[in-house]
Amino acid sequence: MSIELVATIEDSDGDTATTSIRINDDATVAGMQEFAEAYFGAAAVLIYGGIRNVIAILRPSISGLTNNIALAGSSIFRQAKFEFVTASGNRVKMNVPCLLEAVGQGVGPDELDVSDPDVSAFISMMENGITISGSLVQPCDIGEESIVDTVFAREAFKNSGSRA
Amino acid sequence: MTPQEQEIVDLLNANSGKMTYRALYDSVSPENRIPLRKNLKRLKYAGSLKESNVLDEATGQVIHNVETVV
Repeated sequence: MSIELVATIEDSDGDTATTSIRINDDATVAGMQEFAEAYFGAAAVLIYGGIRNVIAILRPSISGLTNNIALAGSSIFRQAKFEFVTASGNRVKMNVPCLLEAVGQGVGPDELDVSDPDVSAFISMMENGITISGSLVQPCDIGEESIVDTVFAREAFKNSGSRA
Repeated sequence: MTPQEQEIVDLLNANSGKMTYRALYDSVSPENRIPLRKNLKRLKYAGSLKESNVLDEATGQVIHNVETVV
């Protein structure tokens, strides 16, 4: 896993752009803070604009993923749309692009077949989490409350938004 | 408990109370497949069973289990 540090730089017109660097995950939180100050401190003398914020993103390695290829005919605009809910009733929405054609054959015109073993495994993972090395890791809402149920699972098409 | 829910419980009991979801899906009668997840949810909220997902470190695959609550 790597940690990506992303700095937003603002110019005199108020326009912003980002620059980023990745570091390995050996860094502690305190070490990451010190690295960010040192690195962007050194970068700051090279630029005219001002650094307005820096965020850190954890980037898990995907080298272990299997079947990780773009199949012919796949499209990011064919999506699965999920809505989950926490015990307090907070909704968590999720879109999964490049939905596999066969998965969409549910009981209704736009419902996913939630009983299909692959879809069910995904939904169960969202509702119940995954036990990894004896520790349960659970998906949650923005308030860190665990997801407990599924409101809906549908297929949808979303256009690119591009204009001719 | 509906006959479809009873079928699920009976299958689990016949397998020491625990099956993978895929094995359960393959074992239920064909008319119980489409509503399987809905029936599992009912049994889950009734406190009769629970689901778990365990990462198999050797294969990197997540095993989706259904088991009775004792």
